[in-house]
Amino acid sequence: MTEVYLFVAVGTIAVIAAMMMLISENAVHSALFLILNFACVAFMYLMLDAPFLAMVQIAVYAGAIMVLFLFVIMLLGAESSESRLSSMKAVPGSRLHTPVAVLLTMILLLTVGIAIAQENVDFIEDDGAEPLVRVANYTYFAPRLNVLLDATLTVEGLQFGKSSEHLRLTAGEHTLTLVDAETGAIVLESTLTLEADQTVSALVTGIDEATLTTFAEDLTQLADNQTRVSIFNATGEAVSLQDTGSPFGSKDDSRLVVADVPANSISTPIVVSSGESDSLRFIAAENGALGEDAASLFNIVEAEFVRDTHHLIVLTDQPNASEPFAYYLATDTAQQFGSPKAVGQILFTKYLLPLQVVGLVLLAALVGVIVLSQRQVSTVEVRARRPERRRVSRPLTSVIANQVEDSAGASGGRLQAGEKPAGD
Amino acid sequence: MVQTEAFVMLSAVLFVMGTLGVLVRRNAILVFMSVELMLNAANLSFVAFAKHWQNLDGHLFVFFVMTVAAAEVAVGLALIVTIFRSKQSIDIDELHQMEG
Amino acid sequence: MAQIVPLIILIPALGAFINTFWGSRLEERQSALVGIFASTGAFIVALLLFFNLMGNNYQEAVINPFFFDSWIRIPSAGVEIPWQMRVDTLSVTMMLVITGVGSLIHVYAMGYMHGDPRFSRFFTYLNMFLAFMLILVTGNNFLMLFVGWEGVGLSSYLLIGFWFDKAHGEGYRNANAARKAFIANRVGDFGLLMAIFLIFWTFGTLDFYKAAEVVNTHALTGAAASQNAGHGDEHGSDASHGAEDSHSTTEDGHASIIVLTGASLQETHGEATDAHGSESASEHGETDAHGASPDAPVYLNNDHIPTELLGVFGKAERMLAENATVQFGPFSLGIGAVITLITLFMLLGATGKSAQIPLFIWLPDAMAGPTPVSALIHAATMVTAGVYMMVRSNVLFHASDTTSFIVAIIGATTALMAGYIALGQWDIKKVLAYSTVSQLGFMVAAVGFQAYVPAMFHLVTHAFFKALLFLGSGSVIHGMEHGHHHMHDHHKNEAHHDGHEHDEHAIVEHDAFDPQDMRYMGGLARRMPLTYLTYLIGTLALAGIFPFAGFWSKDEILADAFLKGVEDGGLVGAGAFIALGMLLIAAGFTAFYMWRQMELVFYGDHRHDAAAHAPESAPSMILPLLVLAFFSLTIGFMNTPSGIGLAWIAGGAHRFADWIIVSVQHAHVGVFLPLLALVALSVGIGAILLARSIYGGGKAYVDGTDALQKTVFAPGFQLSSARLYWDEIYFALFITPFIRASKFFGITLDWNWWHDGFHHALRDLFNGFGRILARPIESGIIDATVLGVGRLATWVSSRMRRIQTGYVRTYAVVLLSGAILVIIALLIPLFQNGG
Repeated sequence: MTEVYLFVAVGTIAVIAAMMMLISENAVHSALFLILNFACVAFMYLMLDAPFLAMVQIAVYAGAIMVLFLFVIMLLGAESSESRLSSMKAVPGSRLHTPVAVLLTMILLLTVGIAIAQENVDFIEDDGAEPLVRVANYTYFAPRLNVLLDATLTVEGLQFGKSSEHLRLTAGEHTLTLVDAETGAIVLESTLTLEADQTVSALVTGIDEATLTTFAEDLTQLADNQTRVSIFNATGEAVSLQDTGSPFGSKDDSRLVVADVPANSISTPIVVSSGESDSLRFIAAENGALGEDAASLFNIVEAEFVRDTHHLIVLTDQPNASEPFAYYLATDTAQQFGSPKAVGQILFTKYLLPLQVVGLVLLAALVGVIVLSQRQVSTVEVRARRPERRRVSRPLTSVIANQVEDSAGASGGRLQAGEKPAGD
Repeated sequence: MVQTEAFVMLSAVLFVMGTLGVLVRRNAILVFMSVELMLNAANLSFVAFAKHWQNLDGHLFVFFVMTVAAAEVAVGLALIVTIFRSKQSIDIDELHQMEG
Repeated sequence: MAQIVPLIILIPALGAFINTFWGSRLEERQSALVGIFASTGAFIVALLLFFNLMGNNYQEAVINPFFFDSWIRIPSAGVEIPWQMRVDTLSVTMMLVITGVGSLIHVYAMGYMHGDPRFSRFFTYLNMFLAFMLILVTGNNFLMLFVGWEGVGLSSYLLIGFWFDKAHGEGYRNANAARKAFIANRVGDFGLLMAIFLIFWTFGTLDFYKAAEVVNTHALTGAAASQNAGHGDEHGSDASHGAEDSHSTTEDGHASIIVLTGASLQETHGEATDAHGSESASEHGETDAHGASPDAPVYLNNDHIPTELLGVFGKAERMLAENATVQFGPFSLGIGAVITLITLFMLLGATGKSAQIPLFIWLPDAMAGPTPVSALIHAATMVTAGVYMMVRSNVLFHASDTTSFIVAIIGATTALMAGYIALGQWDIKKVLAYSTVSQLGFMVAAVGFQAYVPAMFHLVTHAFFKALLFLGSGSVIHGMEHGHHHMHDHHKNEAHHDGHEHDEHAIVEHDAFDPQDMRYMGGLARRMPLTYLTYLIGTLALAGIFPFAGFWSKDEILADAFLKGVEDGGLVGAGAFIALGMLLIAAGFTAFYMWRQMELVFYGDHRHDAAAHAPESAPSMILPLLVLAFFSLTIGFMNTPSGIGLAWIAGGAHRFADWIIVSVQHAHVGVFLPLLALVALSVGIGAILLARSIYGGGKAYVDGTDALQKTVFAPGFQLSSARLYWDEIYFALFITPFIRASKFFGITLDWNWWHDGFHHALRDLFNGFGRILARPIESGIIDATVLGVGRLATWVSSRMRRIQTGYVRTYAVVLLSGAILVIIALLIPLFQNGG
């Protein structure tokens, strides 16, 4: 309930501030009211789970833009009220201007209000994000694979132990064909069924022949300093992941991190705290709960669990050795909605190009502002006290003329006193 | 739990007020500020819908809008300054040379 | 050898070219030398060709010069007229005469035209004339002949009117004379053109003889018939057959095979024999020791050649033999009639060029040109073109007895009439002009009698002594002009002169002095002895006095006339006798008026100061006179008749006849009838004595009257002096109606009616129509529409312009309203669906 009260109060303040901005005669007052309005909107952002944007709003809008406004207002001395006389009175029909404007805006408000009242906000449906797929190659007999999704070559030469990028596919069924890059023989053919919002890893394992295991990763948001770990047991017997507690393997501190992962299966993800560990090892599951003195199948040396990441550990048999070997696959988990992390995540992956473009726009604006605000050198302003002066702004042409070093430009753009430019 | 529609309504009201300001006021800086108000209203709408559909694309768009608005404000104010230098006034009704 | 033949045209053409473009920059002497070298060069080429022909038994050749691949070729119409040059005895004869006399006249002109402002132009024209005349005589087809024909007509025009800018209206007279010559020639050219068209239509070709043809089949057949076909006879007996001539000729030929084909001038050997088995054969030329190939084809006639490959004359003979008919559209004529028609047209052309009745009238007026022009063109060469053409077409003329009869009558009549007119002329050159007409009449009459060799012979001899006479007259005129200039000086220095008293013998005022008028002359024999001497020789030659050249040639013509009258009975024979009579009388006239001229000019007293001071002419003028005088003396002996024992002079009797016969199918050696010769001689001598008695001893011209006017022949003299009113008759009959018709067509019909009336009506109609189109349609409708569109656009834009208020706020309102409309449009489905 408090939310509603908050909303109503802040909303009212926002509307009143906007109205005062429009009405007030003093431009500085208007600017300050606008800042108040911006602050209210920032509060709204906070209520809308957009903390990052709220901060950006305050910093950019209230802190930069409005400051700029105030600077210019002070510079130009425009705080005085507008004169009553408007030259627009000469235009026929100009008396209607204000009434017409009000009328139109009321129509607009009415239209939007009706639209909202129809409760058809949802009529634009969101289909959800498209699924992502990646393929990882753990086949010994085909150290390089060509991946063909729907008969098109998507990944070429996928090496052993590596995974491809996350490929965005449409939801539904897709055929996956794996071809040995060197011999050209088809290693595996299978069908992938994908749903929206899924991030799927397709793991290809096997010593002599390929086995495909698909695994939809759980990338839900983790609490702080936490990691999600799951184990893919590609060996022939059940294993457990044991934390021995210390590098030197004291039996008393050991505990099973993940217990009883059956052969050729993936364990359910568990959440552990992030950090480093030197004492993880794989043991056979039959060794029981604590696995005292169990022979380690594989020692994970210097395991590092990064927070906000889902770690998939793949344990496969080796062809030339009896012990298995483990490989990592890590994926970033989702962030809290609206957090800077989340925004950053999506900004630097999906919207990287627009980001750069916007940067260029800012650069262009910077240059443009510098050029525009250059003062001209001549003494035109000494004479420029008359109101109805028909001159094209000098600085621009002089600057450009100086840059281009073209006398024709300088003479072409200049008009003499009293001479009317073409088109008048 | 505030409904998304409320936010959108608020955004519409702010937008309309901004429009009024653009149309009625003659001070160029006031007009500019009204434009900023309109942009803000639109941003509010974006964020509301982003939350409604749990899609961060809305936030991104707001981010870009803010950036571009900043650039635009800078350039626009520089223009206003330049015009002021030549006309000693920022009444937009004085700028009617390009008339037919 | 074949390569030098085109040079005979190119060298004078080159001379003309040089004098045209650089003549004004050259000095007189250099310009004259260019012309002289050009004509001398052509003469050398002609000489070379002559010696070549002599060396290979007069074998003709047909040359295709390098500068024309083929001249006119229209394969689809079957027209093939090549630029081919024919080198045979006839054309080489003409070439020699033209270039020889021409060169002498070039030398003469260098002195005569001295001081003339357009000196180099004169030589340009002379060389141009030479080039065209040589084209005429070397052409192997009628078209080339016509090209030369026209070209010499043009050159004659240019040269007659050379002094078109003389003062006191004399320039106009010269120009008129030139025009008269050109136009009279044009009428004749019409005749020749019609003949050419008919020839082409009938025979399909214009070539005289194709390269493979035998020209004079009679000569060769006769020779072969009497010939033994022995080989390797070094000194075998010749093919003499039944001749009066006691010549025994030896032949040096190795073989008796006659090689006839001559596409190039090869040195062949064999013998050329003469025609007419009744004549004696004589040897001609030397034979070469080179062996002729026995395998070369032997042809004595053209029977092996199919008809379509023959030239005009060969085809004519074939068609005559077959009695073919010629189709003219729906009509058809027998070949005989067609040939008569052709030859009549040719006769018309000849009367134009060779100054016969009715187109001779231009020749006396042509004396307005400088004397070298008169000598070259109107005495020796151009006027003989008609005779040449007729001799070349002897096959056609021989086939048409009708035309030959008409030709003879016209020739004889012209000779008589012109001789008569010459009696009464005062101008020294007019006498010679009419004399030329008369002598041409002799030649044409000879052609009419089918005596082609005498015609050519007289042509050659006449060329020499007529040129001599003209050049001599030019010398006299020059002397008179010089004397006229020096008269004033002498007047101051001397009281009186040699036998000359101012008042007694002054005829006319000094201002109207005419150096050509014989009435101012007199006693010039003492002042200009060389001129007198050569003139005397020329006179005697012209009069036909033994042993000068004219005697031999004229007498051959008279003999042939007599024989024709004897051989042909009936009308033709009677006509021949009448013609003979006319020719005899004409010969008498010739001798008479020539001696009259001698008396008036050279004997007696000086009738004018100018004559008293006339100097002898420059050596450049005297030298040609001497050369021509020599030839006038000797040229007659190249065709001495056989049997009178003078054959030793030229190495044989009738050498010229033998020479010509090879190229002329129906030629025969001229006959010499001693009785007739004596009659002609006596007529000539008698006429001279008569003239001497009337005009001699200073009675030539006294008190403004000619001596003849004091005799009973006074009215005859009057008529003669008035030139038989030919010009006046022509004016009344042709010129005046023509001018009136021309004026009618030009002024009344064309200008007044067609131009002023019809054209102006058209113009007004057009303008009216244009005005209709302009005002109501163009201005009213079209302009209104088109401009209206523009005005509409302007009006609309002036209204629409007000949307652009310039105020941002109005734009914003418009923006907002538009946006609201869009939003509502997007939300309409929402409202419709409800809930």
